[in-house]
Parts: sequence; C-alpha cells; structure tokens
Amino acid sequence: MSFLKIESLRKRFGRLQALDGVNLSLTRHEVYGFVGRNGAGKTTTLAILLGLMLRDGGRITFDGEMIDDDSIAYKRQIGFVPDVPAFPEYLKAREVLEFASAFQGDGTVDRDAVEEALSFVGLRSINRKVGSFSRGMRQRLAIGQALMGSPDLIVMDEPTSALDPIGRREILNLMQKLKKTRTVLYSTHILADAEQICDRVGLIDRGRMILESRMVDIQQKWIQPAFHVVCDDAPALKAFLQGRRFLKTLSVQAGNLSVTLQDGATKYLLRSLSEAPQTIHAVERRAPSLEEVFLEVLDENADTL
Amino acid sequence: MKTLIRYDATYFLKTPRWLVFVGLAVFLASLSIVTARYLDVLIEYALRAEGVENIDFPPPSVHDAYEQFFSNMTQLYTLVVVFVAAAFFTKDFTRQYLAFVFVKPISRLQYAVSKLVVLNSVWFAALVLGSVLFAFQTAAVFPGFHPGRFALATLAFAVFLKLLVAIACFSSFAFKSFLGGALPALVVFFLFTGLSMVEAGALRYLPSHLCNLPLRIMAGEASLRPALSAVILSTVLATGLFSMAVTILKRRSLT
Repeated sequence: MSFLKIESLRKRFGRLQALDGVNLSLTRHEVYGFVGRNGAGKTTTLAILLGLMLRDGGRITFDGEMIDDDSIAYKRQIGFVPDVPAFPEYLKAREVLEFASAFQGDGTVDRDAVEEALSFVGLRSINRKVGSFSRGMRQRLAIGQALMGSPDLIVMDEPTSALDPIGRREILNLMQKLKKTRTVLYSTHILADAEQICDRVGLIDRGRMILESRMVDIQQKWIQPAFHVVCDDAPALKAFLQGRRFLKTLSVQAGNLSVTLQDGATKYLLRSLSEAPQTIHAVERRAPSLEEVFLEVLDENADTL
Repeated sequence: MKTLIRYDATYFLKTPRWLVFVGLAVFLASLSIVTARYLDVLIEYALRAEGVENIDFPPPSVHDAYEQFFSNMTQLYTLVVVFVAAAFFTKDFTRQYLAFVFVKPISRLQYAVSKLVVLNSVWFAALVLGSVLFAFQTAAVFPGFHPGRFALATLAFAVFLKLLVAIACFSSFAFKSFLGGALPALVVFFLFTGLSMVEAGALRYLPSHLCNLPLRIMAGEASLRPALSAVILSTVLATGLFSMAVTILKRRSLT
C-alpha cells in the first residue's frame, strides 16, 4: 500500500502549466528519487505536498489520509530539507532545533532528540549563531531540524545542489544513514546522487511524470551494454563499424571509441573488432549512467510532451 | 501557540529591537519633561540671541508637559512602531524563514495572531514604561498632574498605534516587502494627522480624531461621543484589516 500517493496534481502559474497531472507514489522505507531538470516541476510538487502552495487540482493521500489545502496535522509526520535552508540568524543551532522540536510536537522540547540530532549532523560542539554558518553547516542543520519529532517521511528538495564537493559528500553520507530508518522523497537534478542513494526514481519533465521505476528495473530495462574500445585510430575504426545493424550509438570520446549495442549484440561487436584493420588494445564494458538513460527517455518523449 | 509566541518574542529579545522601543519611550518621556520645564528659558535664550529682549513668557505648566509628551510620541514613537512592525511582519518573507515554520504543523491564523500579540505587547509595554516615568517626573515637577486623565489619554494613543500596526500587518502580508508594509501605514498616519486639524462635522467621529484626542482629554475638552466613535471605528477597522491579512496569508504561496 502506498504511504504517500499523489494523483493528477495540477498547478498553473499564469500561462505556464507547471504541473500537468503529476502522479507519484511512495511505499514505506524506500528512498524515492524525484528527478528532472530545473523548472520541471519538482519544487512545485513538493511545495504543494508540504502545504506551502495551493494546488489547482489533484489528490494527495498520506498514510491513508486525504490531504487538503487546510490540513496541517499530517505535517507532524514529515520533515523537510529545503535546497537553500534559512533559519533565524540570531539563533544558535541548538535553539533552532529546540523550536523545531516544539513546533513539530505539542509545544514541549524533546531535549534528548535535539542532542541526538545535533550529534547526527555533527553540530553538537558548535556554539555560534546560525548567521555565521557556512552553507554546508546550514544544510546539515536543515537535516537535523527535519528529524525533530521523528517524522516517518523526510522530504529533501535538492539538498546538495548549492554545495561544494565536500559539503555534498557530507550530505550524501547523512542521507545514506537516514536511508536505514526513514522513507525519503529526494528531489534532485544531480542524477549521479540519485543513482547512489535511491531505491526508486520518478522522472518529471514539463510538469508530467514520464518515467517511474525501481532502480533495479531501470538498470535491466534501460541500461544497455556499452563499451569503450581503446585503439590506435578511433575515427578510422568508427568508419569501419559505421552502419552495422547491431549498433545503437557510436562515438569517439577522448581518443577512444564509445559503443552502445542492441540487445544480445556483444558477440557481433567482438567479431567485427577482430576483423578490423586497426590495432585494438582493450575493450572495456561499462554501465551507462542514469543521466544517459534519462536523456534518452527525455529524447523519446520530446515529441509527446 | 505558546511556542509561536516564544519564537516571535525571541526575535525581540535576541536583537536590539526591544531596546529601541524601551530606549525611545524612556528618552522621549525624559526629554518631554525637561523641554517643558525649561521651555520659557529656552525660548527667551533663543530670542535674545536674535536680539529680541524684554518679552515675558508665562511660566511653564503641566499642560506644556502633556503637549511635549504626546507630540514627541506621535511624531517619533509612532514612526518607529510602524517601521519595526513592517520589518517584523515581513522578515519571514524576505529572509525565507517561512519554510522553517510552515512545514511544521502550524496554522497560518495562529502564526499571524502570535506576530500581532508579540509586537503589540512589546511596544505597549515600552509605552507604559515611558508613560509611568513621565507621570512620576511630571508629578514631581509640576503641580496639577492628573493621573486618571493621563492613563486614559495614553490608552487613546495606544488605540491609534494599534490601528497603524494593523495596517502595517495587512500591507506586509499583501506586499511581502518592508516598504510595501510600511508605506500604507505612513500614508494613513500623515492623512490622519492632516484630517485631525479639520475637526468639523462628521470628521470628528472618524479614527483621525485619535491624533488629537490625548491632548483633548488632558485639557478636559474631549467629548464622549466623538471619542467613543473614533475608538470603536479604529478597533473595528483594525480587526477587519487583521482578518483580511489572515485571509491573504492563507491564500498565499509561501515559497
């Protein structure tokens, strides 16, 4: 049974149809990657889910309960990490978490949970005001405050997009830890991050979901074998292989030949390479990234959207 | 609701805003009594510097003190209240703190009520402090101080401030910017000040009557019906504006 179900969600900004019937469902204890390029509709979907924006149409069911625009009780079960977290700059990290704890519950502060969260995000020893925090520290604090009240669902809106590589790695490590105990809805346009973390992904483009699948299924269904061929003269080898029916794509990348194949065509490639006049030094199999798969899916759907 | 009030009160306690209110109220109270006490000396000194001599001024009275106090409060304290109100109501919009608050189970009505309660409490407490200080000083310096009338006049002034704060609240939620929040309240303030000089006919019953009401009360010249009408209309207007502010907040996207 779906833990969170979004059906036919619609939102229009003037002449722009930002969401055009978005459907999305999460089961408990999974990490769902909500991916798409900038402006695809990810943040709008999350803002409606979190009650920060009114919808034009559609249904949201959370833990079996229908959510309307005036509902607030369901938010006790949701923690949110925004892309650019902002907290009152005159507060310290501990005070931010104390307020988050009191807001999330019945007004009392769960001090044990506050200390636990500060330890979890590595801010327990920091006694400065939030105004002096780096972006990475603010992002970690955002994760800490999202954990107040032990919510079942953590919603993250591009939490790594504004961070440097070190900050991004820290947040991804925290997400790996979170993954063990929570359901996570993770919006991102950085597909390499989604690939590392997510159990399932949904691809949104121009306000419509164009793919929703388990990562395992995506790898089986979409990711076709690809090869790097290290050779003396890649352009000549490309010309030699050009036009063969078992090939899907053929390109020269960094002096080597990159090849993707139709199903079950590996043996034909190897046979052709053995007949090639060029010297072949190595043939390496590689897995195409999620990014390549999504670019392909976006390309396939370009005409229908 | 208690947590929201604590959250909003923390803003005043952890920033110098509360000191602005208290400091200004105390300063204006002390300045008013000093100015009133030495008003004749100051004017004589100024005129002598211009070569005008042998003009006798009547000795200052308790009414000069009242006039100094309420003029200072109207001209300075009111403006500070309006500017701080606009900054306070719009800070969560302009600094993007809204997501921190509204992704939690918090109703928008409670959020708005908390803001109004905290802000009104802070400026009112500072006003009371300044008024009490002024009352003790005036009673010590001038004979004939009337504490009952003074309390009533201070309350009338507070009703006027409450209306301006409600206007600032409404315009802040509507325009989401500091200037958008402050300007309408300032325009109403200057409009009311102008209208209060024309106290003819039906104008006497409008909220603008509150601008001069404190001094009329102190002079024993206030009429009950216009005063009551101005207070009731102001309260109704403030309540209506606050309800509209909440409606706007409920319909607004908070991203």
